[in-house]
Amino acid sequence: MNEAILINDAPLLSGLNKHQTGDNISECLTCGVCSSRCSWYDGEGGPVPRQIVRMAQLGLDELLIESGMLWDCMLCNRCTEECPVGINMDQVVRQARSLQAADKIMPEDLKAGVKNRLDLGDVNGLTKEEFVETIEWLSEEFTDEVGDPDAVIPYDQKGVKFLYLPNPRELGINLMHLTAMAKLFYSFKEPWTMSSRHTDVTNWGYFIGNDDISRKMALQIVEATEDLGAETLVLSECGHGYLVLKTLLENLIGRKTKFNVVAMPELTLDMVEKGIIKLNPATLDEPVAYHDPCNLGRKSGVYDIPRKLLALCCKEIVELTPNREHGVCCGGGGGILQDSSSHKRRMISGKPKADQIRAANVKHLATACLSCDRQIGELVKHYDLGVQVHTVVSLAVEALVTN
Amino acid sequence: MSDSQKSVLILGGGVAGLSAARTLYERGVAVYFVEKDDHMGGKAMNWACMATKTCENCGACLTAELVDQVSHQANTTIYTQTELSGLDRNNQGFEAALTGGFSGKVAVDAVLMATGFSPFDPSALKSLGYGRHKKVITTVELNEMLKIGQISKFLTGNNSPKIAFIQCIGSRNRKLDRNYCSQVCCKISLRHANKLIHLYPEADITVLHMDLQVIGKEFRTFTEKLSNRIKLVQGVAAEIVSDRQEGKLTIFHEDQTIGVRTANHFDLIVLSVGLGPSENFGELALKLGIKPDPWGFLSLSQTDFPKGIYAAGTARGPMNILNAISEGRITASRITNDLYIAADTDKKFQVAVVGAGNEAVLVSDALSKEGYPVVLIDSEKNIFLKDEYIKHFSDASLVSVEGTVGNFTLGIAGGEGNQKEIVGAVVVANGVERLQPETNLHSDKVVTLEDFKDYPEGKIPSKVAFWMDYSGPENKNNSRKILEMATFLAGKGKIVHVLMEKMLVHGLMGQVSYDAARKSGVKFLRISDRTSADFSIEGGQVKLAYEDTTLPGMKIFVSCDILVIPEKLVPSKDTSLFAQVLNQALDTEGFIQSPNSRYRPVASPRKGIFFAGNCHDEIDEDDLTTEISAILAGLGYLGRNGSPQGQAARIFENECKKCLTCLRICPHGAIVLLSSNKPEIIPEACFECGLCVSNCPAKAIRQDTFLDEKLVEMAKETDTFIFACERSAFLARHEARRLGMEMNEKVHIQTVRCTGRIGIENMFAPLLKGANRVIVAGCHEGNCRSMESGAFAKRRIEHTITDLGIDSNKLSFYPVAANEPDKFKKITSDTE
Repeated sequence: MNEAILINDAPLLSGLNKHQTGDNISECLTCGVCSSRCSWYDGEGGPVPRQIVRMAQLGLDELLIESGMLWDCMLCNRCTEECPVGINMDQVVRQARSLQAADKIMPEDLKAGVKNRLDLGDVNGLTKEEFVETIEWLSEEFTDEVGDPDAVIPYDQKGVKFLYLPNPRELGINLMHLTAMAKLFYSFKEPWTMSSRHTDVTNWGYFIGNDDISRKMALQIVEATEDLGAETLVLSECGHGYLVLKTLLENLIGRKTKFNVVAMPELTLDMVEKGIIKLNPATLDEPVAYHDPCNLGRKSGVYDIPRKLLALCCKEIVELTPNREHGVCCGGGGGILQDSSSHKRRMISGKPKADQIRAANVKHLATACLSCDRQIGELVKHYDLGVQVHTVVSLAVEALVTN
Repeated sequence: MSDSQKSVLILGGGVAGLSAARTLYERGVAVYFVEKDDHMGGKAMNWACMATKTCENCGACLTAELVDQVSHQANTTIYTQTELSGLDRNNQGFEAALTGGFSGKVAVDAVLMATGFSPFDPSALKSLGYGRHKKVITTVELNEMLKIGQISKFLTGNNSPKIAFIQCIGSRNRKLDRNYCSQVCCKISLRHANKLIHLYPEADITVLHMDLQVIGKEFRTFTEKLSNRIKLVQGVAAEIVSDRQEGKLTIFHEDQTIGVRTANHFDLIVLSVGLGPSENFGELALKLGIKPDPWGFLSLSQTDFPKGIYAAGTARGPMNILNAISEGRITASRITNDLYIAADTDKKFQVAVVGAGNEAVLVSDALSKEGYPVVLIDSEKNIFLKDEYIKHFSDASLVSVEGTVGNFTLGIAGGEGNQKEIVGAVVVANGVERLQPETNLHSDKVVTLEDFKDYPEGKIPSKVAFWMDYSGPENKNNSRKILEMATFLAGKGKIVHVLMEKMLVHGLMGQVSYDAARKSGVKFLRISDRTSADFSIEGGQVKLAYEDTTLPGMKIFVSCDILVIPEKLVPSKDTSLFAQVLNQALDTEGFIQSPNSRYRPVASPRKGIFFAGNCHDEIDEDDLTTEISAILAGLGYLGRNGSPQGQAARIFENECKKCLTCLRICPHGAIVLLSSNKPEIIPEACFECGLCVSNCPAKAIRQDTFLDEKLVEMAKETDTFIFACERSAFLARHEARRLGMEMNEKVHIQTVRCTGRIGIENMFAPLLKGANRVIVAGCHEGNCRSMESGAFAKRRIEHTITDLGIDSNKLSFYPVAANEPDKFKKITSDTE
């Protein structure tokens, strides 16, 4: 039998008690509701949420760090949704990950990504020169494709209406997505730009639970946006990026910003509603299932906007069961996807999602987060689900009616 | 109805309102009932009988009886499918406007809100899939199915069903604004589990709970026995998934033996739903000018109600059926007092309070304050009494009780020699004794709860630990005391740990207190039992080592400066003596066994004898106040009239052989021995069960005949003749009719006061006249109003069958509770 000493002023509990919310860790009823709600579902490993809370509450930090649960937790907050005393698991786990003693269990990829991001503005280590080179090349391709010399991918333009913040994958293995976004911006008929200073919507400081780093990363973007004098910061489809840069932003940086923040689905929908662009729902004449990203849905309350946009791009929306605030995590949340050694684990953590998708009996699935998109794509392959995975906005690009 | 007669409007026809109506009727007050449903009885009317081999004392069967009594009582008007639409106060009282089944106005002197509760609707918790999964039901629905015999069909013939109960659905949940414990659900689920095991011996039952509220010695024994047969899992589930392939329901929970989450599959999941305020209750309260508590209950003190308005039962907060019935009586008694109809002008007889300690003093003071001359007989020497009007025998004991209600002669032995005292009623309130905890360690670092209570604040060190169940199962008093102390100390900056097996959150504010303790930083360490923790003294500190049930496989060490352990609560001195003197049984722990549900919480089958406090049930201070009120309500009635029902049995002196069988077997102590050694039945104390009549070897005791000779004549050879107890089987038949159950019509039903009355010759009469078979249907064992009387009937039949070699199809006994319509239907059907 393992032994541990209960510590009354352990760093984790002390840290949690500093928060305005989440100081209710002591209030845990040990009711067990959280354990019945974990997205990992079945007994194939994964965290036991109640044990996380109890170890935190009883000052057993070292035990918690060694339990392996901290980086298995997907921060999906499915447990929190039904907690009778409202303990915020996301906060507890991230705070625990941020402990000095937890440094040793932090996945190497995250460590490297955080460093890259702080040094270069991009988790993948894309330098400013590389960014410029990529964008200029892509822009030329885009101009050719559209056949209009005004169809460009601009960067570092001052005083424009929209500043687009991409996912790092859009500058790496998924350049097509960026081109697709450019198509949309082109159709919006408004001046837009990207920034060579901040090329990345992600915020891994959030994953590692380090508020200082998370703040620095957010500020890189905020300052660059303000320096360029953009009216609106447009976020690529990214769950945790949205959470940090929209839902939590003002609290995190402690001030208001001089610009608005919208996510790509919201902006696109707005353009449709204003009559600036038109979408043809017959483009995809098949039902599409929608997956709620946890950071967008449960943690930010955005459920309807992506659905409304999706409804304009396909025959009909199929709801997965359960969905919305009870939606099941894709299995890649909370930084697990960003750890390149996690594939095997992610295929387990994502099994409930795979089962859910199979039960929905669809050929297409859309979501509004590129991380969910990638994880579900891998699940489809692994579990042979025969489903094509899209992001909502990429479907909108396909449905775009060009005259 | 005379002009001077007072009247009360009762809103709600559930058990609280019904029992209030009974008491009001007994005291000459007219009653108007307003019930929005189409029948009386409220929620408890749908509650199934929980008896297995014996009655489990849930009290549900009493509902049908109350409905029956109230529907037949004088000066009582019942308006069903009717609601209150307006209420105006005037000089005389109120004018109530009613709409619905009855539309019009009634003038009343007082209004009693007995509006009951609404069960929590679990469809609000989407993840449970209630309404979506067919085999996810609530305790309410399980009750209904059990009552009408539909459970088998629902389980589609599966004889080894896997069933889960999930506790605290809509209870103890701040997020739902229901941060209170519903008090009754743990007992309901465990009784259900017990019943299901009885019906399906192969069933596999799991109860998922937060803290199993095992309160009271009787329930502790029950749970302990049951826990060998079912699985108790600490930790509830908030999600039910249906497995399409296997058609099973799945919940995920922690397997605490190995500490991982596992999937568990079930055929049926029962959601143990909490109690909330009645629907549309807020509107009604507004109409009456009452402010409910934040949850919507009328928990405010009775003195804070507007004049002339009262509340009783679950309208005031979650409570069980027996307590709601008791509350109805208490409140009705209060109403009559306020209306000056009560026995204020009557001479109040002297009451003896028997017992040592604080509880006896509290009871004595309360009775004295209400104008009863009190005699306190206590075994202690130096008790301090505030009330000088109390006659006090100290260092004394009660050694005999003779006579009947209104006229008991007590034998008192004590320092001043043997004495006699005449009293009208006796209240036993002997309390408990606190024994020093058993421990090998004698250290000033380990102190008892009582000693610690008196520690001056300055003497309390910075790290304090309490061990809740150290000296035996946690009880109401100690748990609340520890909770309050722990919260207080944490507020003073102390580091406080509480080792516990479970947290008792009894009372409406129990959960709030527990929440406050955790919020203030008190840490609760969960252990599975006494063996999963230990302590030692090291370096001037207490070192606790324990295994937390939420962290399997870990031994956790906690240091503290002082460890507080509660005393063991044992029966006080003389408790067994009092039980013997009063002919009451003792329970397994040596406390006085509470009589069955018909007398709880405070009365006994011997009129005028009451029990209060921890000597008979596990209670806290609030409960004691309620018990005292219940005793006062009972005394008030005894004091007004003796209530002979006019059908008491009589002993014919010439034929009496003075064998005294009757005296020995009378369950009510209603037969006394006169100076001439002749037994006599005292009508005021007689319950007319007739047990003495059927047992008198000389046939010298007679009672008005109960047998309808014409009915016996009618019994034909294909017919069944049933002797049905008027309090159980007969009411079950009535209920079967009300529910429109199809029944065998070739039966003749003879009601009896009590099956104990039926002699062998009575049983044979229909058979001799040609009836095909005779059934005696009475109460379950442990439920009979005349205690063992029903069991007597059963034994008599068993002996007759064996001794005379009678076909058991011809003559049989069945226990059928008033809320077992389906059982009545089955035993009377031809195929049985």
